[in-house]
Amino acid sequence: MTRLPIGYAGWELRDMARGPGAIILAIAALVGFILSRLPGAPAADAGAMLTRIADQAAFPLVLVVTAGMVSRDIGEGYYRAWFSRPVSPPLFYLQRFLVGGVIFLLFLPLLAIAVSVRTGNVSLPAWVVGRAALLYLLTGGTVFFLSTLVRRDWMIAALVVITESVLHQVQRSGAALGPVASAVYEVLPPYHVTAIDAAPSGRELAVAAAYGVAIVAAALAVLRRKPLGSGGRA
Amino acid sequence: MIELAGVSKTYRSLVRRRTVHALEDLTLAIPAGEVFGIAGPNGAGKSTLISLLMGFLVPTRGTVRIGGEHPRGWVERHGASYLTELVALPPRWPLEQALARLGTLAGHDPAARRERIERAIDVLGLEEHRSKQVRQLSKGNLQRLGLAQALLDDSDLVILDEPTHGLDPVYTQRFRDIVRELRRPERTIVIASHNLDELERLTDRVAILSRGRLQRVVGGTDGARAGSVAYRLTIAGAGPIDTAYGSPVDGRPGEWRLVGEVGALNAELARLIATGVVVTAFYPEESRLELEFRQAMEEGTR
Repeated sequence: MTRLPIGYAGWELRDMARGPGAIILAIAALVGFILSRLPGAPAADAGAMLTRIADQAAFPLVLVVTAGMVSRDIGEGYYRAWFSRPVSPPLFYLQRFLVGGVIFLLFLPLLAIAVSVRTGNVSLPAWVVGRAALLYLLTGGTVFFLSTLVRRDWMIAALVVITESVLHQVQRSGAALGPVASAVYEVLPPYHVTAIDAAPSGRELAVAAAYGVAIVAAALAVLRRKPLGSGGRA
Repeated sequence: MIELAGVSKTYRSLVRRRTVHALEDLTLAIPAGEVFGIAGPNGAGKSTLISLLMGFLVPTRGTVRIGGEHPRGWVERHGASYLTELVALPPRWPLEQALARLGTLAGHDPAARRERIERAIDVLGLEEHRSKQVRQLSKGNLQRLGLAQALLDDSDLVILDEPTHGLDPVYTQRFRDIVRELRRPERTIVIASHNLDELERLTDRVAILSRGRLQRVVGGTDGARAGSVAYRLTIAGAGPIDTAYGSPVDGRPGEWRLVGEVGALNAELARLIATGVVVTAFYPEESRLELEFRQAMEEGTR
């Protein structure tokens, strides 16, 4: 019977916790250490400090969590062991993507605790969590989608996200984009909206969320339609 | 159970613009209850065929059906007991944990999973390796782990790609026993191997592939060999053997090579025995499958 392999979620959580989770914990500890050594009076606004630090760290952490999500299994041939079982590849990887999201979002409470070293109070506004979740959905979804197609998923995703951000900054500065750059900017998902310290409108957030859902759906569609193997032994 | 109709698989390299015809116009039916072998030299298309059966690849032309369904759909609903040619599991996973994870993926409840893991570890003699990481296993033990994970499931489709590759003689023999125990009327077992002797012992029929084409299917009920075939004759002592046989094979006393049609050779044996020669062995120089394989390869290269 085709089903979400819920029983395997614990193993996924364990793998994620030991890999990306350990990196997240190390970064939060490092932030806490650095903040505890800063000279001067403690900062008053814990929320603002959290937002600024989270905004800097979130994008690379999304890449750490999602890199090779599908492509590693295909490249190493592990998929042959997973999918000789009664397991659907789209559901298997959707579960992995969701577990990755949980691990990624754990960064925020850890960071809030680290920031409290400096501010004296733990602050984690709900909107920060929401924006981080949107960042994971859109940027992580992009890596997930690319991972179904190519091996260097995170590198290409970084290139796409940075390109969009640069084009956005150019447009915001009032300079005119050429016709090609303008077309590229229109087509690319609005990654700039997911910056945690940005102030987008509700409509922009909705569009970004719709893009994120569409990209994850596209990844699942590829996993449904595209054969996992590429050669006799691959 | 398994039906392939006009199946071709072509790999195309976009960069080098190279085309490889891995399989061409393959039509085959394998009923439930059969142990079916696939033989062929390297590059014959065996692994491609297995990937098609597992639904990891789709044919360029033709159709593959398992139980009337697309292979991927069938495997996703029922699961298959599958051993890959190169066992690939994350290197840091301990052996027992690898089995537990795969059992979890298969949807076994914890009690059944534990029982199946213990049985697989016992049957394949992996007890002393259960806490070792995959990367610490020798080639033979890795192959045994591959077999163990395939045996965890109780599927009606068993696909084993080079199952005795790297196994020592003890576990090669045990593998044969395992396959005999796996036989069931509702189960189809497919074994791809370079080892013709193994295929001849274990399978009901063997498909011989060469350069992506099905050269022939050799069945267990095929008639006696036709034409002149070489046999080895060994006799006890230095009996009064006919000088017409020439010199002993490789200078070994008492071992001779006889070539002829089966009926004539029988008559010759009877004559020898009547003269007091004690025959200790009389066997074909190559098995029927080896003979068919050699002939198929010769035809394939013409």
